[in-house]
Amino acid sequence: MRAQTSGPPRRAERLLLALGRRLDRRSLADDMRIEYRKIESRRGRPAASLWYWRQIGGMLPPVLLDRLNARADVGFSHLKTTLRNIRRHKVHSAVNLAGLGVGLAGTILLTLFIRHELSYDRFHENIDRLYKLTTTYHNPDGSPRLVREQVSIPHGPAMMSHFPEVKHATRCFPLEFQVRNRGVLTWETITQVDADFLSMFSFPVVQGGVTAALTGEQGLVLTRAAARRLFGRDDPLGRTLTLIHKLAEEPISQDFIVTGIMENPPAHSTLQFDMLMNIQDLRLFGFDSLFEMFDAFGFETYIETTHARAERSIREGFPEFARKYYAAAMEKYAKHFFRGRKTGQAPISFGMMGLRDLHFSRGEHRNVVIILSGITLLILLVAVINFVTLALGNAGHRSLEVGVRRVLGADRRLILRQLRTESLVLTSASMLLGILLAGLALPAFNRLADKPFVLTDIIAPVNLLIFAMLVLVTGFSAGLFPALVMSRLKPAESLKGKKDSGGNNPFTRSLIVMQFAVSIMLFIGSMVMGRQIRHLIRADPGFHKSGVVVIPGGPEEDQSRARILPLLKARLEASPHVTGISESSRLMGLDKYMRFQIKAGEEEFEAHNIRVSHDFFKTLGIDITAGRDFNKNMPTDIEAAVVNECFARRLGGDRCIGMILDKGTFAYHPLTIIGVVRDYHLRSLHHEMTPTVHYLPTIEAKDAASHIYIRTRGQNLPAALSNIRSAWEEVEPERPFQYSFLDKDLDTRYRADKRWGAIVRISSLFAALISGMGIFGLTSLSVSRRIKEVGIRKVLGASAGGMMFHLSRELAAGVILANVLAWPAAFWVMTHWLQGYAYRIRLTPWPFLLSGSAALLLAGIAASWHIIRTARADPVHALRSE
Amino acid sequence: MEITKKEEILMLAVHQLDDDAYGVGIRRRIEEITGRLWNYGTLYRMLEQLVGKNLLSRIEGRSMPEQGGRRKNFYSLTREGRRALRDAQVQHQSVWGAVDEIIVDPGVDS
Repeated sequence: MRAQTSGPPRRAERLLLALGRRLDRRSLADDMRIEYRKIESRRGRPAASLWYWRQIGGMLPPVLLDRLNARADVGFSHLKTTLRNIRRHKVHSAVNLAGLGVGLAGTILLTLFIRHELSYDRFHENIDRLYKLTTTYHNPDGSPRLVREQVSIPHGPAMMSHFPEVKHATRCFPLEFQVRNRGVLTWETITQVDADFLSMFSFPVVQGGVTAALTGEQGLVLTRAAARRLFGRDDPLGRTLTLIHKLAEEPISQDFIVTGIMENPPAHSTLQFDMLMNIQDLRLFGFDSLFEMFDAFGFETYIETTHARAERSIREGFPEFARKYYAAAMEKYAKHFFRGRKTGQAPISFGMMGLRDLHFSRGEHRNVVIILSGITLLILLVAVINFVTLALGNAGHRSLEVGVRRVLGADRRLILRQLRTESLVLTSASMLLGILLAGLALPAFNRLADKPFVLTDIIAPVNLLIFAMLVLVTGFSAGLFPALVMSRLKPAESLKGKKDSGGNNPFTRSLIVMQFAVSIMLFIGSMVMGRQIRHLIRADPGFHKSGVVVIPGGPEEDQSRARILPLLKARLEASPHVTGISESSRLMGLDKYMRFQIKAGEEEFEAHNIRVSHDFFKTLGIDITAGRDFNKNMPTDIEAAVVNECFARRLGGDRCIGMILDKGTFAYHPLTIIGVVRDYHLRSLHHEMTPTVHYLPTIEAKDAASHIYIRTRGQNLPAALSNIRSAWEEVEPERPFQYSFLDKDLDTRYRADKRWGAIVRISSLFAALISGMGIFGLTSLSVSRRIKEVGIRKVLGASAGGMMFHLSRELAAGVILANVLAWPAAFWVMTHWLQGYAYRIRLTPWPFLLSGSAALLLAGIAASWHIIRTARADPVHALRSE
Repeated sequence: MEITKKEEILMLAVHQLDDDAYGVGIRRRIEEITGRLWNYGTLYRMLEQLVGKNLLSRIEGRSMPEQGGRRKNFYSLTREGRRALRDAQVQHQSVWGAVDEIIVDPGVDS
């Protein structure tokens, strides 16, 4: 007897033993071990190993096939039983299916939305190497005051020559041109880019080579939308467009040729454009000096780095870069910002922001995704809880079936698997229903969410994968609890008909309470949001907004604007429909305006500045609370200022009249305060009231007060509009008459808020619907279990009304408990949400009470069908039922 | 009971080995009959199936110290197995008995 130390690879042998579980595997392994040794001694270990593994490979297919067959047999039987059970409990299954289906439909739609938000800009192949350049403005103490995603025009090319890590750079900012196309004049926004633009970003070019499109002299690249608008169905390639720009006194016209056509930028692109031209062609319009202007920041610029990890070394190089190129600009800005104080701090620094983070750098988008994810999870939670409680509720009815199975020899594992199959089948069916419902609801959802989804988006491969995961997770987790409960049943007890396991145990009850708590939370949320949004829209902005026509100004450099107002005013004086006309350098109701440092005596603070023409306050109905308005007959008013109450409060109220403001960086003269106006909301109501100073435009002020506000009587708007239009066409025949209504403009500022409200409202309806269905299904079970009890009580003299009270008491207690849980949570969340608004409603008890009663009512309606039927039934039938 | 060709070969090998039919021996015997070496896994799987169909029976062998403590399981035909093999033989004879000539190997096309 020889001691054998060598043997087949251990891992291979273990696999062999695992595979041969149903075979005479000991002998099999022994036989193969002997053969292995033989081969090893003859041809060496590797050959023997190879042989061994090939043996295993050879047995793999038949053995696996056997396993599969065995599985399939059991699986088929499970499936058959499942279908039988579904058919037997029709109402129960339908409620279950519908509840989960509705929940999944909601989840699908919200998943689409969230995925779309997350997919912003991800289609660029080089996304990891693309950055947007930023400029940070600093306070005298060095802390950052403002970050803007804009730099100077020569910044990008300078970075290319300074940093070896920067491979490409492109400026990318819009500029307005007048465009002559076959004799027709229009205003077009043309995005200025470098030739690198098309190779940096992955926007598909339809016609014209990628590089050729922008490198040729005086070429234009049009998106499909622009081509369609300008040329209709004609082939746009090679067509000529005349671009006109009025920077100087005499407008300059240049002919451009369409050299390329691009797809419209996708909706999930942060960069949006209509037409592109090479920025170098701006030189043709007298913009030459712009290319050396390091001290004008206001131009979006992007760079591509040579590799994905270059960001750090570039950031570290920024201070040196700034010293090299921005010395003069720094000096100038230090003088402006720090008022010549020697602080040793740089007034400006530079940075970069990954394109990947660009979309979410706007907090609003990030919050949308966070809150929506939360809502999605809540809806899914409600749907799954519903599924579980319904299945648990049904467990009582099925205990007999389970008992018989156990007696006939099914072990717990088999019963678990049967129940799991059932839950998976139901979940899959619900998913199909959910996809169908989501598809049906898609158009409405698109309108609501302002997204361009199509049906095929729902069944995109990635989504299908997510859905499959959802089915598996939901199916398993929803099937787990009921399965555990039911498989634990002792056969003897369940055969004897002990049925107290379903629907009525503390676990199920707490699930129901939770489901209602979530629904109530969503109810409260939607009500509070709705109120807040109505408050924003209806709140008095402090100025007259209905019937006010706004003619927005063009590009800032356009000084020809200054002559328009007097001409227009003269022509509209006679119109009976127009009651006032003025202009301002700011559009109302935006989120961001420039702020400037104000210095008056010892006081220093930041304020918004607005250049307005005479009659501005009168036109918009803003009251003068102290002092006086600008007066046309007083030429010295060119050095006067009217401030709002908020501003005045900083200077000791009305005593500020007569005070002199430093000209700072915003005005051309020191300004004397001559009046105070009532506070009005320049910004949307998300924001605090800010000190604001108004003054008249001067000849030097390049951006004149270019937005014209015309107040009409409001009774006959079409007539007023036609008056204004004909006046405009006389004054400015070359420029199309573009206008909007102030109230509509302000409404659009709250569009995001409105969308929010709608999404939360619909989500809460979803959750409520599901909870309602759950209650409906569950009461049917719990009531039918108590038919006999009801019968006895009625025989003993209980009235129908008394019975109804008796039966619904438990349910009501659950809903009330749900309220107790939901209120503090909702209060906390809504308080936080409201913090985002400077002008917010107070949280009253009403939304809470209303939501609570709504939940109670819903539960009552859902349950009453069964309860009334049972309570009114003739007790004879109930008692005879055995 | 109808048996497949492979089952037939395997059962024939067990029959011929008589008292000495165990894994390695059966495999060697099959090689002698057909010229092919079966995969061990396939062999044991088929043995298991035939035991399951009650065509073969397994006799658990005792541990044999001279074999390094390994156990040999022996297989033999059951009554049903013997009958099935017999039926197969009769069928072969009745099918092939009617054919006199030897079928000539067609060779390889050239």
